[in-house]
Amino acid sequence: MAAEVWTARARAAARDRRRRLEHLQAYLFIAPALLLIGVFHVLPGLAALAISLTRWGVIYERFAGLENYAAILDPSGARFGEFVNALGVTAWYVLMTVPVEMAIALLLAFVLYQGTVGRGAYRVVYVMPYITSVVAAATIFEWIFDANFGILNEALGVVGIGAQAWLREPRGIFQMLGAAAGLGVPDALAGPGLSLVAVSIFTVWHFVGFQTIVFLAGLTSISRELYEAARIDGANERQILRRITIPLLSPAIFFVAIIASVGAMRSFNQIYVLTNGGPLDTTRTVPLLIFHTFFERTAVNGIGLGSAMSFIFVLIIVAFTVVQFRVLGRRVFYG
Amino acid sequence: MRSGLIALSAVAAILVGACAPGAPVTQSGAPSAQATSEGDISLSGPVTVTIWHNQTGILAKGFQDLVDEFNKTNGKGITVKAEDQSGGRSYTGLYQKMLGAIQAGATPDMIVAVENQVADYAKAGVIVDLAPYMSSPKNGLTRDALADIYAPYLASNKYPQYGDQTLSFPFIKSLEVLYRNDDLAKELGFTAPPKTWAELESQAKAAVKKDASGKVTRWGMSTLSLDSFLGSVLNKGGAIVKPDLSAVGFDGKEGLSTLQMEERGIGEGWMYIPKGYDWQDRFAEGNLLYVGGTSTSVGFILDSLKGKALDWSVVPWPDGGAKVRGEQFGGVVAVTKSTPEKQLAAWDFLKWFSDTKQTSRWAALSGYMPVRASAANEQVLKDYWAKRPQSKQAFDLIPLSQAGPSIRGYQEIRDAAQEALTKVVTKKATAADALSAAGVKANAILKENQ
Repeated sequence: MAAEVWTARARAAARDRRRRLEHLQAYLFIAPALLLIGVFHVLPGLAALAISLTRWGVIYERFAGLENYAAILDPSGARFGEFVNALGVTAWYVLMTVPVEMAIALLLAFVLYQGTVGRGAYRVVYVMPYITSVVAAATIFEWIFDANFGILNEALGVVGIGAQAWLREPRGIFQMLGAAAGLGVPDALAGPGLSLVAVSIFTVWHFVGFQTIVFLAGLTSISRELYEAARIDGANERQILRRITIPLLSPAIFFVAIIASVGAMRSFNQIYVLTNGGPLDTTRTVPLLIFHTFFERTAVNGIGLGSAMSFIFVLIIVAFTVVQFRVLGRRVFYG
Repeated sequence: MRSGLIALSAVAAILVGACAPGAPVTQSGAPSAQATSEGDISLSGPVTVTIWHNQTGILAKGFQDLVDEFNKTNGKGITVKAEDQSGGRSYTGLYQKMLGAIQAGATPDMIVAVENQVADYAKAGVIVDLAPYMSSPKNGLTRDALADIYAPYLASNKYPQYGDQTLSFPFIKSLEVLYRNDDLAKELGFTAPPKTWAELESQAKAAVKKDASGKVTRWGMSTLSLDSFLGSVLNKGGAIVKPDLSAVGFDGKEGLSTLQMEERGIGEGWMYIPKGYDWQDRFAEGNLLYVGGTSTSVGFILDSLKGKALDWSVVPWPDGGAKVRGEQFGGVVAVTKSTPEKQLAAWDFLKWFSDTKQTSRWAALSGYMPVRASAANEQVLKDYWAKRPQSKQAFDLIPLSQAGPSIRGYQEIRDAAQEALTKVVTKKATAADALSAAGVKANAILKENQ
């Protein structure tokens, strides 16, 4: 009896040792990644958080507690207005890019999935914008949108639409449409500037290929047998789409929605190249405002304020993502 | 929760402590006693100093050649290491790099910058007052040499927020000039440049040409750049920022009259709204009578002409009533605090680089203005101007130029003024409303930067 107990204990101890060894091995395997993430992500993040609690102009001046956060969030302060404006611009930008990108990408993926002739070539064509350098492509789009000699205005001219200032146009699109219809639209209802619409067109063009590939991969992973079975049972194409394709594609849709939304909120390069936040701040999204605060207002606590803005923005992105998980996550079907 | 906050604060304090440089924030206007004596020392051994600049391509090569020549000929064992640290983003790139260098306490010995950036660096207490070096009997500039350097170029290196200390030295200078298509002017019967702003406007209106559909194909002038606008304020007797720094001045009646002219020009269709620098193409095509631009545009206009014959020139801005006819701007060099030997070596290089021979060669190579009047007698510049008479015409206007204020926050003040111009060009607001809003915004920025 005693021997059995001893054997059981020895086995348990050996199991524990083995488990501990396995844990140690696991930690050793992830150690390089943890080290890199710690040094290049976590530490700079903590440093930025620390800086956001200081008054930091060209150099560190003093510990400021939550002063920077208060300055940004105080509705009577000068910073509040520009931050809210930047949030508004960012929201419009996300709204004008993410749903449009996803709709086009889904459509393209469906078309390609149907066995279009030359599907491989189409895939290359759609993914090309995504693998092109943002800066180089944005420069080309600057020419396309050129107010005086851009090809876009030339094309619009052919169909009788007057030349637009595009990247230089700060007026809101609702305001412009209202003016064309002879209606006066107040500034509060002006809508996003045409300049932001132009930037959004570029963004959609650039990212739609990536999303198409993700959706196509999702579609390809759905078993053909399910479709055959549904057809044998008499399901029509609409029912197949609603009951099989969309549910089984929902993880990919959810993934793209999250990635695209966070990506759009954090967008910087293309906006910096195309408009640098102008004209009249109509394309100054939060990342551009942070950059502007850092490098054009450095002497007046720009680094402290910019860091605080970054953290407020991180919280907003996290909150938005949580809402997406709560609202969309429930509808995802993982099979 | 509370312990979490305490831990967070501790991390913050540690990180702040680790990142904060030890140097105190100094805004004192008085030159340090140490610096006064440092201007008169002698170098006892080899010294290496670094300059961060923003020159690229052929200009970087030309600058390096001059640096190499200095290294070979200075006879004091000084070696200058020139590094383009702009990352292709000119002054902005250099500024960002320098901010990082200040945090790390690893600044270069010399940094190319625009004046408001120098004012920012000075807030960190890292910039040397050059006045003791300039006036040193042993190492400074002679009275004749000082008089030879254009006064407007020296003036912009005095920083009012730091007791008028000389915190930088001229490096690459340009000025905003008025280009005229002489062939078109002759065709329209205008034998002389406009004497007044009203005359400029009437000549510009007369130049308009439309096609059969009524579309304007030739314009009197281009919409004003920000520097043309600010120059007009000075030209009419106003101030961009009031001398006592109590408020901005560009929003006064001088600025308003210019902006209202712009409003008329756009509304009536005689002003061309350029996209970037495409006014150079319109000008080269012969479809612009006047355009305001920087003096360095001479080379770009020649490029746009592609050998096409066109008579064109730099003419003075109209007489607005003040001695100043236009705005000047460009890069300066600031020397950072290091050792007395390095600071002196840096000053020696700046003195050498601004000497007549070097400034002439640099101007002929780069298209920037030389900083000395005596440069006009140098053969290298005479040869250069023979090919580019417009650069000589610009050179002759230097004494009538003035720089914007060398203060912290000036870039943001310029941005506010630019917003007013944009609002007028895009018809978002009237000239009066746009300028008034810009003035309010710029005054808040000025106050914040006091």
